[in-house]
Formats: sequence, structure tokens, C-alpha cells
Amino acid sequence: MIYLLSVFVLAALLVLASLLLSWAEAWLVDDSPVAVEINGGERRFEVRGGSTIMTALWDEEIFLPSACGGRGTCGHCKLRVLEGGGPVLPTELPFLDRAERLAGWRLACQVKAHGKLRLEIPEALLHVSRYRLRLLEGETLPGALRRLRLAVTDDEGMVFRPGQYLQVERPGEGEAIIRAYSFASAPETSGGTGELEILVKRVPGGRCSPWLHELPVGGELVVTGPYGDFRLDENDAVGLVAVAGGCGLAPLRSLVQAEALRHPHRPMELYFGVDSPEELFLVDELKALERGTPGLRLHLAASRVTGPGPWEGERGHVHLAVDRHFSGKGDWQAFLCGPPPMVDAVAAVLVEKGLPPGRIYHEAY
Amino acid sequence: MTAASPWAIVFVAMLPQNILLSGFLGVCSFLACSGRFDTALGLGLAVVFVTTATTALNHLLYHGVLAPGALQWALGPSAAAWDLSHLSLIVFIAVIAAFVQFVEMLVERFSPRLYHGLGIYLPLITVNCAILGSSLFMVLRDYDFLRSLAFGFGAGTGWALAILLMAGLRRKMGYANVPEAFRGVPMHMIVTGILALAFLGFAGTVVLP
Repeated sequence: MIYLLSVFVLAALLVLASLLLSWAEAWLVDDSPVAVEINGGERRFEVRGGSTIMTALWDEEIFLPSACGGRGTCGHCKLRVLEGGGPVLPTELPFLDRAERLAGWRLACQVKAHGKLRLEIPEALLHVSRYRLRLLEGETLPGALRRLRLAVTDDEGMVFRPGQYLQVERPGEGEAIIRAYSFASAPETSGGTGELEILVKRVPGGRCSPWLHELPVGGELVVTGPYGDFRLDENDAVGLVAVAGGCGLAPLRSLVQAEALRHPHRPMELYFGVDSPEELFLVDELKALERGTPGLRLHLAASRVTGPGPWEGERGHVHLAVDRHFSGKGDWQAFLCGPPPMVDAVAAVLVEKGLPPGRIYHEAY
Repeated sequence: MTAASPWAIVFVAMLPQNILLSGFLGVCSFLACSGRFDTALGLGLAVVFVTTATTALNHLLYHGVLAPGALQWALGPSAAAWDLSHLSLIVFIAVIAAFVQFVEMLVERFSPRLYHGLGIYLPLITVNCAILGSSLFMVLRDYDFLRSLAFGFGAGTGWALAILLMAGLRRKMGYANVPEAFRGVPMHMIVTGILALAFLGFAGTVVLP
């Protein structure tokens, strides 16, 4: 009897506390409408106060990139706040240097909307849209990866550049969960059908990847995009050195596939590093691409293979393979995609070989 | 039930039995937030407010609901044997957490600067052991409502006093030549220990019956 009473009393007290807090929140939190002006009046609207700038803009169909889903850990949602916004928060400091802070750059996912806001957003982001996609084919690949081939079900297809990425919105309890995935196919290879591919690595206990791995053929998902400002040099004498770690191959596959069709004589070196040969995927496709594209050179590296054995590719980490084979002579652009330590190591090697740091584009996941 | 005067209880909780320097409760946010004087002041005031209010609230909850036979005012004599005091810990923590959320909303509304200055340390008041300790001591020493209020106020003010002292000392330490191995937390812990020794000087000034 006493146990029943304990449970009842505890539940009653907690419910009472929640009710009191809800009432306090209604009384205290200022959610009066906020007037927002973007890019000097290009767009004007009112939003509910108290939410973050990112949420407020999202509700107005302006989709700022956010690899971390608004948690303040990726720094992709930067914009300039010309008026309103309050003092810079401690959570924003790691992503803004002094010059940026003085110029008014803020993280949209951290700043709460109050009063009047005047914002400046990169023009390209105002053209990012939301699309509905349907899964056509899902192929499981080694290393807990899944290749998803998707078709756009809206009237307007998604126009993207190789090397860009989209954000998947997973409907969740409360706020949607947002995760970024690079386009893994070139726009041209779809043959005008508007199909696109992404590679998803299954993160144990993850909030989005298990759902994407379990999505059945015909299943639908909502994405926003395209994001990413990497541009390959128009001049096809400028080479591309592309280094991928594991599922970081996705954007590089998109780039290399596109260039194989557009500029097959562009000097391209693709370095694909994994831990062990069993984790390689899409190798036959890449080797076929290498055979058919005069400018492309492919190097495979397995970091855990050290001694002699049947493995014919490079041994050790991929940055060592880059060090061995990349000459650095001539004009190059670099695209690196993989775990942060790999990206740092490769960038260091490339800089040492004479590549200007400004020519190295990287996406660390 | 003690016969001590509420003022004596305030004094004792603040100085001779300072909850931080004598009871060693609430040291982590004390160490974390004593870097800047204005932040320490803001946090100290918030802790005084929370400690006073929650000790009083928890007194009402304990003697009105949780104590053996407490529910008789609502459910009649049949409740005489009922003892819900085993729920004390969880109920006190829930009350403190809810109250801190309320304080967060208040601070954000009336002083956005302080709210941003405190940052993550405002919600961290919830896990400040000194506040829970205050409620638990209140139960242990069987204070009535007025004395619970006094004790909460004294404990909170004692904690605030300690953090303000520390903030001032840390500013002075900025000019001291601290050896490399001691810089940061090691030196702060040593200073806290010396402060605690200093506060021992108050022992015996007021003795509670």
C-alpha cells in the first residue's frame, strides 16, 4: 500500500511542478513577434520571438546548413547579424574569430530572436529548397555502409554541383533531426532522370543513419539543399587531388564521375584509404573509371596492412600514399573528405608539397 | 525542534559552519565560476535565492507530505502510520531542479546580460550539493519553517560569501608568481583549504543549543 502511495505522491508532485513551470514560462518568456529583415529588405517577415534564428528562418523556408542539427557543434550556420541578437554567447566563441565577431557574424542556431532583427545571408542560401525524395535502390556495402539511390518526387528536380551535400530531415518527436550527406553521384550520370545517390555510414545508436539503413525501397524522405561552396576550376589543366577516408568517398565519387564525362583529360589523382582491404567498396567501378578516363589515377590504401601479403595496393595510412605518389608539380586543387585526423594529415602533406592552403577544400565528418 | 534564535542560525550557517568552507559542499561550481568577480556575484545571488526558497519549500513538502504521519491533515488519522520520507531525496532534487528552471527564466527575462554571463553555470546550480545539503540538514536538524528559511538563507549567503572571497583572491593571484605545476586548480584548492582554516577562527563564537 505504501508503495502505491509513494508512486502516486511522487507523480502528483512532478506533475504539479511541470504545470507551475509551464505557467511560469507563459508568463515570463518573451515570445512577442520579431520583425526580421534580410539582405537590406530583400525579404521581410515576422517570426515568433524566443526561438533561435535558425528555427525562425527554417519556418520561413530559408534553410541554413547545419551538419549538427542546431546543436552548436559544426559552425556551418554562420550569418551576419546587423541589428538585434544580443551579446555573443560562449557557445559561439569557438567558431568565430575576432574579425568575424567585429563584423557581426553569429551562429544562427545559438542566437535567440528578440525585438528587431536585420540579417545578412549569403545569396546562394536563399535559393536552397526542400525536396521530397523516394528510395529506388539500397545496396549494403562493406564497412556498415549503404548506398541509396533516390529520385526526386517533386516537379522541380534538384540541381547540384559535384562536391556539394544535402541535409536529410528525419521526422522526430518534437524537433526534426537533421544530418548532412554528400552527393555520391554526378548529376550527369543520372541521364537526366534527376536521380541521385548518397552513401550513409551506420552509426551505432545514431539518430538518423539506422533509420536510413532501414528505409525500404519506395520509402520517402525529405531533404534540403544543395549546400557546399566547392567549385572545380573551369580550366581543365588544373588538376584535382581527391583524398577519401572510408565513406568520405561519396563527394569524390561525384566529382570524379562528373569530370570523367566533362573533362576526361584533367589530371586527377584519387586516393581512397580504408583500415583493411575487406572494407573497400565500389572498387570495380573505380577501376573501370580509371581505365576509361585518361587523366585519372587511382590509389587504394589499407592502413592496417603492414607486412607482406596478397594486398597489392598501398600500405599504411592514406596520407603516406599521397606523400609517396603526389608530386605537387603544376596547378592543383584538393578535395579531402574523411575523419578529421586523416584530413589534417593529408592537408599537411599537400602543403609540404607546395599546394597553397587556399586550394585545399575539406569536409571532415 | 531547536530553541535557537533564527538569527543565530543564519550567523552559524554563514560563518562558523559555512556550508562550503566547513561542510565542503558545492565546491565544483565554486571553483569553476570564481574567475570573474561579476559572474561570481551574479551566481552567488542566484544561489542565495535558490537555497532560501528551496529549503523553505522542501520544509513544507517534507512536513506536509513526506514525514511519518505527515499526511494526516489531508487524509485523516488513517495516515498516521504512513511514512514517505524515503522519497525525500528525489523530491528535494526535483524541487530544486524545477526552481532553478524558474530562476533561469527570471534571469533571462530581467537581465539578459547576466544570463549570458552565467551561461551554462546557471542550470548547473541544480547540481550544487550545497543546495541539496541545505535541505537535508534542515530535515536532520528538525527545523521549523522560520528556522528552515533562516538556515537556507544563511547557507546560501555563506556559499556566496565564499565564492566572492575566492573571486577576489583569484584576481590577486593573477599577479602572483605561481609555480607551473600549481597553476590553476591545484593552487585554487590550496587557497580554498587555507580559507577554510581561516574560517575555523569563527568556531565557538556562537554555539547553538
